Amino acid sequence: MRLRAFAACALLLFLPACGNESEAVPRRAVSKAVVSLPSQVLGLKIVEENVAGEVRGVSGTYLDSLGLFSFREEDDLLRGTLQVGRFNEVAEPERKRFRDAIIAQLGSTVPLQLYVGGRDVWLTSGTEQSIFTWFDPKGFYVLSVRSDYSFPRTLLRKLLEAEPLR
Amino acid sequence: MKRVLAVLLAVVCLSAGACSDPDEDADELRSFVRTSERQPRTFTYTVAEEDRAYSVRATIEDELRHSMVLSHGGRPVMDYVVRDDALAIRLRDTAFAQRLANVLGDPVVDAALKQGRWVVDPGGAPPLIGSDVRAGQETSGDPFRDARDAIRSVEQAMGSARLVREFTLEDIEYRPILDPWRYPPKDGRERRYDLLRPRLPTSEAATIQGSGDIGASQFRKTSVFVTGTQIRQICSLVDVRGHEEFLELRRRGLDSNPFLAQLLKRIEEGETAVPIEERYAVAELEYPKEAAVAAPSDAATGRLEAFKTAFQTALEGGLLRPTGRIDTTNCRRTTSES
Repeated sequence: MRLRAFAACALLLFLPACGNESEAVPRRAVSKAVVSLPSQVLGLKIVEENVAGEVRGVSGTYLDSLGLFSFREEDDLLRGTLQVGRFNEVAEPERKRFRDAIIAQLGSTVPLQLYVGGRDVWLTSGTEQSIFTWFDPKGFYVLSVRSDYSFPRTLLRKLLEAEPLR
Repeated sequence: MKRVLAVLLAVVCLSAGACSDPDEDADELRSFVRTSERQPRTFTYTVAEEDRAYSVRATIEDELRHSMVLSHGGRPVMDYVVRDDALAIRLRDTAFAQRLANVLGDPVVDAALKQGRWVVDPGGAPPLIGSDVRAGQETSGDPFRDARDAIRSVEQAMGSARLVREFTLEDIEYRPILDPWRYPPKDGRERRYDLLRPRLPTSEAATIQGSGDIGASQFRKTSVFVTGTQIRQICSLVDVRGHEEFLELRRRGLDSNPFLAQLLKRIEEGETAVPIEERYAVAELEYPKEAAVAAPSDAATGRLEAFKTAFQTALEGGLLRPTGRIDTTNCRRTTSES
C-alpha cells in the first residue's frame, strides 16, 4: 500500500463531477486541512502526511482544504490512511446526487451502504484494502484500511466518534 | 371523440383500481426498508425448510453491532455477538456442541465452548463484503447472516418481483385462495405490501433456452407489513407444490401441458440451474428506543476460526435438520379471516 496511490485517489475528488456543470464555478487553490485527530488510535500512530506536492496547482471546485493522515504501527508499518476534505460553500453534501458522485469514484466494487454509530457509511473494496467513506456537513472522509489489518471496523468507529472536522 | 375516450378510460381505471403509478408502492416500500434498516431493533426470524428449521432472536444496535440467539428444536443452542471487529460465541447446549466437531479450537477455546462459556475473538467478525447470497439462491446458508439481513432481503426480493403493490381487498386481481398471509387490520394503522411473483414461463424459449432458468422468485409469496414508516413483519413463502399452475396441471393431468409437466419434473428432481426449495421465513420486528449490544463479560479470548469452520461444515451436514413438528402458522391467515 503506497501513500501516493491514496493521494492520487484523493485528487479524483477535485474533478467537477457533480452538480450543475454548466454553472461557472470559481476555482480556488486547495490548502491543507485543519483537522483535529489524536496522536494515536488503537495503538496506531497518526501522522499527517505531506501531500503538498500532489495538491499544488490543483484547484478544487468543492473543497477548501484537504488532509491525508496515515495510521502506522510502532515499526512504521502502514495500516491505513484517512483523507479528510473540507467542503467549500459550493458543495452540497446534503444532496444525495452530490454524495453519490463522490462515492462512485472510490473503490472497485458497488458501495455497500451501512448505518454505523448514527451515520451513513459507504463501504467499497480496492486492491487489498477496504474503503469506508462518510460525510458530515463540513466535509467528507475516506478511510482506507489494509485488508490484513484485524480491526478496521473498530478504527472506523473511533474515527466516527472523533469528528475530525469540528 | 378524444373526450369520450378519456372518460371511458377513466371509468375503466376506476373500476380496476389500478390507475396509480405502478412504481409508487415500490418506492414507498423501499423507503420503509431504508428507514427500518437505520433503526435499532429487535426481531425474531423463523425459518422452516425441508432440510433445516430454526429461529433466531436478534438485537441490532447498528450494522456493525448485533447479538443473536439461535434456537433449534425449540431450544436456544447458541449465542452469537458481533461488536465491530469482535465475534463472541457461547454454546448453550452440550448436545448441540457435540454435533459440531470433536475439537472446536485451541485447548482454551475448545474447553470454554464445551463448558458453555463465552469465547471472544477480537478480530473474528464475519466479513461485511462477501457472497451474501449464494448465486441465485434464497439464502447465504448462514442462519446468522440471513437473520441479520432480513430487512435487506426485502429489497433483493423486490428486485425479482413482477410488481410491488399495496394490499387491498378492492384489487380485482387479488385471489384469496392463492394468498397465505393475514390481512392487515381494517383500521388502517398497518399496511401490507405484496411482492407479486413473476409469471411462469410458457415455453422453454423463456427458460433454459432463453435468458435464464426459472428460480425461487417465481414461487415466492412475500408480504411486508408496515406500521407508520417501520417494517413490522416480513412473511415469505416459496411454495412450489401450491403454485396455481401446477395445481391446475395435476387436476387436468400431466399430459395436458407437456412443457409445464417437464418444468415441474425438473424442479422436483432439483435439475433447475439453481435448486428451488420450499421455504417459510417470517421476521417479526420491534423498535425499542435502545438496543445496545454489550460485550459479554467473563469471556475467554481466542481465535474462533476452527469453530467457524466446524459450524459451517456441520450446517452443510444437516446440523439444523428439522426435529419434530415446526410451527409455520405465524403470519398465516386464519380460517375466520378468509
